[in-house]
Amino acid sequence: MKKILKNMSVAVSLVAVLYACKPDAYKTVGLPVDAVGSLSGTWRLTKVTQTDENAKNNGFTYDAINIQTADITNVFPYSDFKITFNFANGTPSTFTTLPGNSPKVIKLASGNWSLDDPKYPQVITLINAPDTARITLGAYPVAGATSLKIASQKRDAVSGKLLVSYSYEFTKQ
Amino acid sequence: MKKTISILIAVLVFYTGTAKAQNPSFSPGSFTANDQFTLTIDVTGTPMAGQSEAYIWIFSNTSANGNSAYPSKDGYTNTAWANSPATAKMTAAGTNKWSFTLTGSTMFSQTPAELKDFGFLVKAKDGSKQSPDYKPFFFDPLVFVPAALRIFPAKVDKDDVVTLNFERTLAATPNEQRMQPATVTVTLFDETGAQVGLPKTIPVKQAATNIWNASIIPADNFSAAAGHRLAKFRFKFNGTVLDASGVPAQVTSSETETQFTTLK
Repeated sequence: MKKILKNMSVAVSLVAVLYACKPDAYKTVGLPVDAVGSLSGTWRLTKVTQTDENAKNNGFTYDAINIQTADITNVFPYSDFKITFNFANGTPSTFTTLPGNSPKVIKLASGNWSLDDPKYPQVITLINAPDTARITLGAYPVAGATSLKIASQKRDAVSGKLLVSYSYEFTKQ
Repeated sequence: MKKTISILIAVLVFYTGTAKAQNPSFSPGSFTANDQFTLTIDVTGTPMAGQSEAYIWIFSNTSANGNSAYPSKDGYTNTAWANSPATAKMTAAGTNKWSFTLTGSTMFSQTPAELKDFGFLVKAKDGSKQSPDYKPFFFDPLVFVPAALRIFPAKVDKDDVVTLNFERTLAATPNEQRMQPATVTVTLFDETGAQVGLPKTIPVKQAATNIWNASIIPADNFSAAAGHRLAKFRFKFNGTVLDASGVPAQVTSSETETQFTTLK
């Protein structure tokens, strides 16, 4: 009797172990992130930051006031500025900008736009021949992020040293 | 008396010895991470003594103790221990003396804000001989020098947002130190020095204790004549002080001038 009970307990343990080792089915990871498609639509400028890159690079600090970075969103009516990216057949087509009373964040009023990389873009080129403007993307509005961030860097024309930068944050309308 | 003289001589000998022991030496004696300097090292008494050539092996932030603000890095001349490159070769500076010229931020590809100190050793090209480590040698901090009238950012082009600051406590005259700023007057000039348009006076706001400012985009407010360009601007703050009878009196700060930097 003891032997039967022992064999039964071994068998039950074996079944339990085998069942526990049954592989889980792979769950779906969802659709691929569509970084390009996420740019589609109208975006309003909601935050502008200006950085003294030389002060930042040198680690300058001053107790009285921030001398590396300034939030200039409300210094001028930047929030008037809107940009619309249109698509045609799933690819970038036209754009329009509505500056309102905002400073000229982007000087072109309309034209065509393109990307440096269709899957993982870093630079948007705005074209209204013969003028072009290049926008550096800081963050895509994907994976829970709702804002589009672009950056503008300004370098000394002689030395090439980075001196001033602007960070623009847009919110989807 | 003899004893006193002996002690004095002993002290003198000690300090002379200490001075001689200053090794390595630096020229200039102090430097920031952006300054070029030359170090000279005497390797007498080390395994590198008597060698006909020497190579530097150099590293940053030896005293940072893992502080992530000061990451430790090898100099770009540290390629392979067993085969130092020509860029690491030191210059003979006398018997058992070697020198090397460098700029910290270039050598370590680190910003001045990331550089606290450096250390180095002297080695044979193939790494078969080496001196002890020499460290740490500290970079002078780069220091922001505030002024009563200053702009943010420090370098701007004509189409940048320029914030004009007035810090009352740094002002030179009693009137400026007591002034309650209300406006700032901006005047633009072209490359010939000719004034562009009329000066603009805009309201200021208090940005911090004793600091007032206003912002302007010069190119949106001033247009140079055809064939000319905006080259520089001047600004001064206007406000009031109370006179002896408590009545507000108009005062103006000194004026400062800034050249535009061509940015692209």
